[in-house]
Amino acid sequence: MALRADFSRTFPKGPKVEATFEVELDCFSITVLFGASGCGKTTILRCLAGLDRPDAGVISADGTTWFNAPSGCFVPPRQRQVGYVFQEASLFPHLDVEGNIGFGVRSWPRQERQARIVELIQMLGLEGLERRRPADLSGGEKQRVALARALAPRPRMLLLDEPFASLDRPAAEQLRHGLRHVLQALAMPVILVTHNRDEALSLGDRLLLMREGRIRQSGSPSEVFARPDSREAAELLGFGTVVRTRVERRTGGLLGLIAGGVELFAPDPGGDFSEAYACIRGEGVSLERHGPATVTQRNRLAGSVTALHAIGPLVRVQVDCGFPLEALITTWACEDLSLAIGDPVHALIKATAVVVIPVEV
Amino acid sequence: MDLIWEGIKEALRLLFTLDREVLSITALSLALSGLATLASLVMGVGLGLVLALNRFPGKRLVISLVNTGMGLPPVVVGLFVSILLWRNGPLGMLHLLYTPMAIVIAQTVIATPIIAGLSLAALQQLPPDLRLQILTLGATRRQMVWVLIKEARLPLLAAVMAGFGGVISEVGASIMVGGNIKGSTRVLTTATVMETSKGNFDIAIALSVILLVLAFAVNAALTHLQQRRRPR
Repeated sequence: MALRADFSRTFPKGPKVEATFEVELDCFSITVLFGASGCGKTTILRCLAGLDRPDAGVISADGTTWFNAPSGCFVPPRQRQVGYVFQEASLFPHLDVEGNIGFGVRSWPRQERQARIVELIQMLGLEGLERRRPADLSGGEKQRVALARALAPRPRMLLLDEPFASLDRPAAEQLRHGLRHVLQALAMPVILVTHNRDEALSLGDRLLLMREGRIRQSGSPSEVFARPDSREAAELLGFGTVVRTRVERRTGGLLGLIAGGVELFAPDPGGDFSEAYACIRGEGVSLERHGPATVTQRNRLAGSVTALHAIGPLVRVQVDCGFPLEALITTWACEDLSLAIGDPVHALIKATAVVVIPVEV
Repeated sequence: MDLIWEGIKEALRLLFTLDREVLSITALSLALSGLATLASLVMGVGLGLVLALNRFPGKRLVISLVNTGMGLPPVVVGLFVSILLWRNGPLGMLHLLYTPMAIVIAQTVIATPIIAGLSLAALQQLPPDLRLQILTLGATRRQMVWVLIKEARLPLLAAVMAGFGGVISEVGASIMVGGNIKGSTRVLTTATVMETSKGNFDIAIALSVILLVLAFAVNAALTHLQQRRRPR
């Protein structure tokens, strides 16, 4: 019981989007399609729903073909039983909340229809809003109504296209928490499109990393976030420092990598290569002004501060230590050290915080 | 000044005594323009839907043609419809020139681009994802189009109003293709022109007042319809 997709969609004078993956049906799991804006995530979702037509390949669910390029088979959206929630809720402005939720089940017998609407209103905590029009709803409420509307006809699968992108942070977080709960109870597989790292990490059971129209890497979100397998993936996944290095030596399971004239130690992933990208998350870098020279961190690099950027409660510090290094520290720590541009600092990085991606030749 | 005053008095008398001729002219005007608006509604909204829902080469050109058509001078329409319906013209064998049908055809040509252009604008104002959203909720393409029409019904009503207002008040095309024949193709506007030129200001004013009241009544009815649906 699975959805199998293996298709491509080419846009005239535009990019080509390719997708090959499977999703288990009849059980709860959230598959995250993660990638930068414009990399083809939405196209894949639309092809699955039947809103867009691939040029080549096949899509099937449970052995039923939805799309087959050679035979010209194309099952229209209404026969696919797929729920879809758009980035902007797209509610029907002239219908109230009940009317919107009931739209997909308008052909059901009156009583069943009403019972289904009540059930969904309770499930998504929309009590008291039954008679409201979309114009009188908050962004979070709108998205919950859109979700209820998509779930009403009991779809076999739910497709979510950046459902939190138009919401402010607290509203998005609240909806995110509720969402997992609701969908788990329904035993429904979900494909979620997002470019938000927090969302991918907190919601996903599986992550498909997309870049330039193709799925480049897949696995559990924590695994993919910890072990990107290409320079581009590392940048996409939020590694603040990605630097090309030369392998100087291999010793005790560690690699000695030369970047910008300094040596960086990192765990040896094995294999034969002489050049590699060293990828470091800003969170994995500590800064000190003048501390003990003997620390557990294998990498202690001298440098100077070149830029400071406040992002919420954190400060992103750019350090020049032979190569440009990014550190993410708390505002508090930044004040403690009274860091300013030009200040000399030492950057401390655990060897295990450095991800090594061999350069393919 | 006396002339105008006398004219207004006579006009009121004609109106309140329900003068037979005035009534029949009014009825004919309503019937012909109503028919033309109905035909334009079908073709105009249809064209608006085709333009709003499809992508095809030359779409921009068609849209600019429609937008140009919204301001078609009735005299020009009258001229071309006359040429078409002329006894020796391409459609001469239908013998339609100087018949009420000719007026309906000319007015349809005038109103269709108005309704098409405004329908297109109305449909394009809907959220772009709405169409796809409707499809994911189990609608057939036909049902989807119907929901879109319902969603856009207020601006579509406005389009109908604009179309009707355009044709009930035009004179150039009606006089050219209809010929202002008494009892056959004499409508409010053509009769007004004729009576004015004859110096019968009383009848001309009476006809104008009817024209204004008519335009007001139809628009008031449509407006009422619009306003009634909003709060449910």
